Amino acid sequence: MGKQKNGEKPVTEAERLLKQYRSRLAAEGWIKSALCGVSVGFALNTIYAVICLVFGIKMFWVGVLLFLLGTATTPLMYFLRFRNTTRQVASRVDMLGLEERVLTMTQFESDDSFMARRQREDTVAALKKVNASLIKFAISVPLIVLCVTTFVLSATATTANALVDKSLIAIIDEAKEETPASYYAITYGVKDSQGGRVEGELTQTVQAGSATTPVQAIADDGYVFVGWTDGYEQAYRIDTEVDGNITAKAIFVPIDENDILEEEDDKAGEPDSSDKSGGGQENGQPQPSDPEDGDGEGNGGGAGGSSAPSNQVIDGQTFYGNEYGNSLSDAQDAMNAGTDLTGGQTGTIGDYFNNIAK
Amino acid sequence: MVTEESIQQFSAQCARIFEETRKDMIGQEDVVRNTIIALIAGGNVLLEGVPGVGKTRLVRTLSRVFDLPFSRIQFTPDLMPADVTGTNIITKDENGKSTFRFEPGPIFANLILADEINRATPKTQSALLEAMQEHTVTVMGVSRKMKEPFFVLATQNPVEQDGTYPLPEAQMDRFMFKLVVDNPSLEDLKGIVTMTQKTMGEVANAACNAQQLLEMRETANQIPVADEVLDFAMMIIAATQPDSAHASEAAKSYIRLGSSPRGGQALISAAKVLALMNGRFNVSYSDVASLAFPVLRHRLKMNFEAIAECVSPDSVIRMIVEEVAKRCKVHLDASVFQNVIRGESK
Repeated sequence: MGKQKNGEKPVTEAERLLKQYRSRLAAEGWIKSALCGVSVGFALNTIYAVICLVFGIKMFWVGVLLFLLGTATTPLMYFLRFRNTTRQVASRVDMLGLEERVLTMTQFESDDSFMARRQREDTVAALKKVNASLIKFAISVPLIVLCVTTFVLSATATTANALVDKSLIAIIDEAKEETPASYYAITYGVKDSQGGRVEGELTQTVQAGSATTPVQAIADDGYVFVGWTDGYEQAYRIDTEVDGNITAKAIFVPIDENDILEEEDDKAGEPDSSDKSGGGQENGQPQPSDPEDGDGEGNGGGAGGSSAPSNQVIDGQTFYGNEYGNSLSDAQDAMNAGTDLTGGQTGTIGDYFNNIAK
Repeated sequence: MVTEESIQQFSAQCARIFEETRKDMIGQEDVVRNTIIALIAGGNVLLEGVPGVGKTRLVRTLSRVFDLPFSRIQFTPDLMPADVTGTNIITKDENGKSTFRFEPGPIFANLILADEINRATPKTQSALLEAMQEHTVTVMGVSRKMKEPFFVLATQNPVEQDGTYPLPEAQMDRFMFKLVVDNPSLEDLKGIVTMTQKTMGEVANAACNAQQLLEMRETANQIPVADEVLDFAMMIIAATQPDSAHASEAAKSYIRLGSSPRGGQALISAAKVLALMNGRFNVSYSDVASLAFPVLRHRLKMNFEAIAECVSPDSVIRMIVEEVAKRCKVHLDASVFQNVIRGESK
């Protein structure tokens, strides 16, 4: 029998032996309670985060408070649920091979019959043969799973909430709104509606990144095409890799005979003149500079009755500038030098003769 | 009153009983142990086994070991109840006046061997009912108390069923245990043959007497049973009843009629004796689980599915015990079932 303090119930040897098991199982109970308490905290935090997401509440400190509040239920969990009763402790100790001795002893501890006393003695003897360290912590897997699950949910909901609050999600939404429209409107026309026409589909809807259907700017008699309002220079127009709405008008200018005559005069006096006056000059179109090109004059004269410099109006309607003349000159130089023509020269000469054939 | 002396006496007498019994019985340790448990606990035993496995010899040996007056009744189809209980016969006194005098039948002994009990008619079998349960015999309206201790050790043969009368449920329920006597192992067989070559005589001596046996019973009866263990035992009994709220899945599938409360009484009484025999002063889960088999196997009425699927009562009991153990969060060692599997009824 154990010690006895004044006025207190004597501590029996059995109770003393059981105490070590009880404290070990109390630790197990606290671990379980903590897991449960933290799970409650995470669950509360998850619920609050979801509410914040739905209603746009931005008081995050409440979430933290709720988590702490949930975790603070740990002692409650322990005392209401996980604190082992004497019978439970006895039952666990009996699992060490004591064959329900401790369980029976705790039930009959107040029984003073000979058999009950004998049973207690037998139990104490058996208890001395085992050790509290043999009791292994039994923490249920569902409890651990519950804790991990609530943690993951809480972390997810809180992160989502934080992202929304920092406008990151809003930025993403805005970026989505700014994303280019899938289709663009393309409009072609003639500036001031005079001097020529544009053939082809004048109004097009083109998918972003793709090309337009080609259009051709054709000048009326007495006019010459000088370019598009958006700076594009070719009469035959294809816009590739469209990335915005396009509105372009072909610019035609009347051919001024005086300007041509003056120019011819200038040429006669200064074969290499770089005078930029005249319709072609106004439109930035270079004047033919090759004085050897006699065919150009003939063609120019016949072109719609215009007096454009030779080789400048090939089909009688469109002014092509010195492009062909320069290319021809380059080609002749190359042939004289015995070298091959470049791809660009070959293409230009081909276009030239094709236009003549028209 | 139970004292330290009575506990020591119990242990000493148990040791002597087993020692003396082993002189005449080779092998069958579980059957011998369970029969002795039943005798100490005050229960009747039904021994089932094929001829020649030592059922009758065991009973005779125990009567010698316990030093109890022994009667053997060979049950046959023409045996009448009066042949068992005794009857009133007319006698003349000194004055020549005729009077009825009760001539006790063989049942008036402490230990009755009801050999091949299933060969008698139900009417004769039922003559044992009152004696087995109330330990009284009523003849011609007069009840007579049996001498204590009173036991019936009955034997029956599981084969040769022609011309037999299976024991009714009411009678079966009055047996504390049904023990299945298997064929001995090769080792035991050798020992039996060697022993009987020397002598067929039984050499076991008395290890205790009727009074000591009653004291042993009283001592064992004082063994405390924890509520949890009692709940476990009663849950097993309830789980055998297919209509019970606590019915086990095995009972629902294979049992038509479960154990009566008498089965619960037998289980706890026997478990107390087993605990004390093992030197413990409390009943354990394993005591209850291991004794569930002899206590319940004759109390379960199997249904058609069990018969069709050849599911034995022992395998159903094992399922029930395992299910209840899981339900009550009781860990049972596999060794609890070890002996039972060996002695499983066919």
